[in-house]
Amino acid sequence: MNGPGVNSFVFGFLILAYVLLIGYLGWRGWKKTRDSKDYLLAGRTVNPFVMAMSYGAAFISTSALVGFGGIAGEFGLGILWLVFMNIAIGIFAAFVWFGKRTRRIGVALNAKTFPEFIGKRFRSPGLKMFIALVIFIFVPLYSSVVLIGGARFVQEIMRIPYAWALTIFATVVAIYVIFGGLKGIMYVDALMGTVMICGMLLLLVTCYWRLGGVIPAHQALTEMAPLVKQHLPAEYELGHRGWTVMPQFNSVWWWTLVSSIMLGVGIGALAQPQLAVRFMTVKSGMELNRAVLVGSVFILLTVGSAYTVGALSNVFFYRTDLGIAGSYQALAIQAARGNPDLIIPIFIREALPGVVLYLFFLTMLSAAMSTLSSLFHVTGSSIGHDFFRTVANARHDNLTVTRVGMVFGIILSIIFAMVLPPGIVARGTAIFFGICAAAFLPAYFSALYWKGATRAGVWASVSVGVASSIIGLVFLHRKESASIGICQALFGKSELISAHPWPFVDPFIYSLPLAAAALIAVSLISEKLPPRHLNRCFKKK
Amino acid sequence: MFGLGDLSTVFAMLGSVAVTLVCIVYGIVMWNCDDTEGEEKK
Repeated sequence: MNGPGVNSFVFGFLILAYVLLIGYLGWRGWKKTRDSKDYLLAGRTVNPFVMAMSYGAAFISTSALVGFGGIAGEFGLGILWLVFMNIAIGIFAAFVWFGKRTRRIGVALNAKTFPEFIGKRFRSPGLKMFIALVIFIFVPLYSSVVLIGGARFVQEIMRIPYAWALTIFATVVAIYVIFGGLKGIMYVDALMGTVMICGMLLLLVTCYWRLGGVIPAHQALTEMAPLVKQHLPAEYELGHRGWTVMPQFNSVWWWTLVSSIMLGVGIGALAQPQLAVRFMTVKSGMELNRAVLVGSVFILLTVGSAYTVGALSNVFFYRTDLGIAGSYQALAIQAARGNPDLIIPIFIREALPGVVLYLFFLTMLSAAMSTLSSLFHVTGSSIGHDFFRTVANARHDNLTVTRVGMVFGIILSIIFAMVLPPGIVARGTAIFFGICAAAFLPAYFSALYWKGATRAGVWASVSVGVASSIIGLVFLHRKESASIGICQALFGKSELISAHPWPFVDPFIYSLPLAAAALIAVSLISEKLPPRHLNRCFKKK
Repeated sequence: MFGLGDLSTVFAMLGSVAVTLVCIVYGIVMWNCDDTEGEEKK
């Protein structure tokens, strides 16, 4: 490694020691994994600290730290609304209003995965298989952007080619995910979550310290606002007005920030299959109450730090008079050669002393590995537990099929990570969260709260959610429709509706209400579920 | 306020801290409470 003040031997030793520790925890989990309940739900006996840290570590990835941290470098501190949404929706609402009922109904129905939960709740093996397929198809997109985030970090810090960074990263993750099961993963995640909190807190403190304190740092960033028009005229035209203000109302940037990032990612967190399964791993609702405390602090310190530092990196790179920017004198996005995914890795490499870099490397490794492990786990269980077991009408899980599913998911993610364009990390995450929200949220909510929801209604909701999201991405949302090219080939234009703001409104904004409307409309006219089944689902403890 | 450029950003920052405090208080108050019992009492 050639980074400033970094000793290759110490660095290599530290990484090896960390990987061995992770391997040991994964192995302990593997040894304690006796059956599919252990493998898929960690035996339903996880303590609240481990559960909350694991949830947080699976929730927050390099996509959040590197991808959205980079977006903060580009968009500014308006992205702090996403921190608010992550805590209010992704933690409080998720644990208190979704988690407790998910756990209770999941136990009553003996559900071990998200598709199985929905399938059993609505007595439809077909629905379970359909949801499993949706997960299996779309999760690799998210896995790949998390991989990209980690690999970009390794690339910049170790100064190795991207392909090598990707290969090393994916190999380390794959080894322990395939063998660990959820019990192994959750203990490793808890360790990783702790490392992430320490690393991000250190980064925030270092950043404010180097920029002269909290208010002087913010003030310096505020004073840079006129540079937008001067250095980034195209972004200015799109609504960028500085890094400590929101983009201009109703501009392209405003719609991107509000519809895709704030609402899409903020609300989408509620319907993440890899996160919902964690609610079923605890013994009682008490553990979830305690997890609210741990989880909220975790989110505030990790993503709050990443977004703040991302925005403040502009001061770091531009203000040569403060003696911190070296020879850059550039805005963050310029220093990152136009790729927002590189802002945080380059900032960390340039701003942090060598010793801190070690910890930070582990932080990023942890952030990526914890999320990827949960994503690969949910990919494998979707295909092994939910799909093939149902098709084969087997009594027991075939863990080999689950692991083959994981390997397939890993390979698919690596291929995506190789071919996706630069600057895709945050966008890919927003697409995945938006699809999850539209496809699963109405069904998931009704599974928990509406006894009148029917099997046909949920089928309609999931189908409409998936279809309208895909139509939105292929024909309406310019960023994707222009890249995919099908709309251009069929209709001779990059999107079907060109009137502002439609090409910039995230598909989630209309696909979620459409999916909810389909659920309500079809449920009102279709056959209800038997009262006995509903009583079983909603019975008292 | 706090060196930030508009009220929306200030609210975002304060809101994030405030909602974390709410979660902390909730976690402490409900620490020993398994309130899933009796959720369906009607």
